[in-house]
Amino acid sequence: MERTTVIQRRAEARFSHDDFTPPGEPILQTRALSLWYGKQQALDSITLDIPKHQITAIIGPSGCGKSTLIRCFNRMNDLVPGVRITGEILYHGQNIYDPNVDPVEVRRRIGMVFQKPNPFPKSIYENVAFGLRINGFTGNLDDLVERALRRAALWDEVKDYLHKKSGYDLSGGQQQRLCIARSLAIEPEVLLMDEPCSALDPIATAKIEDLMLELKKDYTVVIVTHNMQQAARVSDFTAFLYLGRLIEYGPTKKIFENPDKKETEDYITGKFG
Amino acid sequence: MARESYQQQLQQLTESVRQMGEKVLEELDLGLQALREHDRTLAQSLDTWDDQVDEMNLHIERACTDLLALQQPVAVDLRLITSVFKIITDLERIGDLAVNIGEYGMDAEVFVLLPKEELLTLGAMAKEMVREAIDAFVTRDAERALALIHRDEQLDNRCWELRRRVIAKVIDIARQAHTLDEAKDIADDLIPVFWSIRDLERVGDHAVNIAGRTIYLATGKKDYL
Repeated sequence: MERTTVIQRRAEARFSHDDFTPPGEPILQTRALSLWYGKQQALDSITLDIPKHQITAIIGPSGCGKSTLIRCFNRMNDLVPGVRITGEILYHGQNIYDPNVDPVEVRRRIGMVFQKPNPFPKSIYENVAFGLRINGFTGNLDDLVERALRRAALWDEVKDYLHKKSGYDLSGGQQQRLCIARSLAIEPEVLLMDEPCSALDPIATAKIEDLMLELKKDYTVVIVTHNMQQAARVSDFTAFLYLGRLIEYGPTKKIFENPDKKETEDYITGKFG
Repeated sequence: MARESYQQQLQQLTESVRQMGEKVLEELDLGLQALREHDRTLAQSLDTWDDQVDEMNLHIERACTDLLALQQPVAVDLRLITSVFKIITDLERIGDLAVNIGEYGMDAEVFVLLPKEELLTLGAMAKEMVREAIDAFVTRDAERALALIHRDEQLDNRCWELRRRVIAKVIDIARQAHTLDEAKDIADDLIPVFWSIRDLERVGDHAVNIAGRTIYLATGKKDYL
């Protein structure tokens, strides 16, 4: 408890003057969030709000903690041995690290898409239906699979091969959209995307970016990217992390036109990183 | 420092603007000299100077376009490039005005009855403003740029006063004309004096534009754009 109090005091001091709060309703909020892998501290008193139905980008050099942060949002770091977390992550105001909260339920509501597309070695249909089945859904799966594939902008390309082709038969970009469809099928509220385009060519990347802009009408998107042009193109708000600290958070336009902090400017203009 | 070649290109961009600014200042100097000395040959030679300024303008514009296309600049780098786009247009226009000012002086009689020295004082003020604007841009000195913006009022006031006096003088001379046509001819001959006052005022306005862009470049503030 003593440590938390110190961290909170430090966080309050750090964010008391220029802490940015995005407009609108926050869906996720971190409060003095710190994380250690063993003795190594990866996040240091992160306090920020993720607004609903917006795209928030997290940028920063390798090892700055951006993937660690996004993985905290659906408790993926629980699976890493030796992890210790202090502070809070609030989802609709409720701390998702509260002992009474079921992490599986958290992950159902807060879905995730990874850097490398990871379809199952099953048919396209089964890839999307899988999540529904393990969540106990027994209704008409056909409609839900179609809806998820349509939302992921993949339906027209695969509708004739739903049962004939495996997820592995698709191109990299299609596989990533299949993974997005799989996440969307179980109707999450938030979609976390950890470098979703780093393994894709520019055309496939453009399709995913278009899709993100479409998805934000119905979902909240948080994207980790080391591609700053991508952050600039798609996101509404951008957070810059460095050495586990939140250096600056603000509207993407402001961050890329006139950031307040020198570290942000030096990073995004390529002077370091 | 990472992206060294890119950083060098950005530095070169500032240096190219400085060189263009120096060229325009020389052109303005020659324009004022042609005005002072009614030097027809010098005034006509300004076209060649202006061609060189235009060429520099296009060269810098191409460099800006290349940087935008190839380097995806952001933050202060983006502000530099967008500012340079506008600043070189202001410099190019100052060059055009310098040509005009030189040409107004080709008709020696125009200034016989008018305060040419005062016009040249205005010219010196306007030129000094351009010098300040270029220096503030090169050093990214927002305070200096702001001081320059505030100074423009002095030039505007001096231009307004001189214009009023010239109008009074035109009326006075026209009254002494024997016929209406003669009065019209006198007024017609004096129009270049008004133009030269107006053009010197505009030189100051372009210097203010450059200063406004410099403040944006240095601070991100758009108040003076």
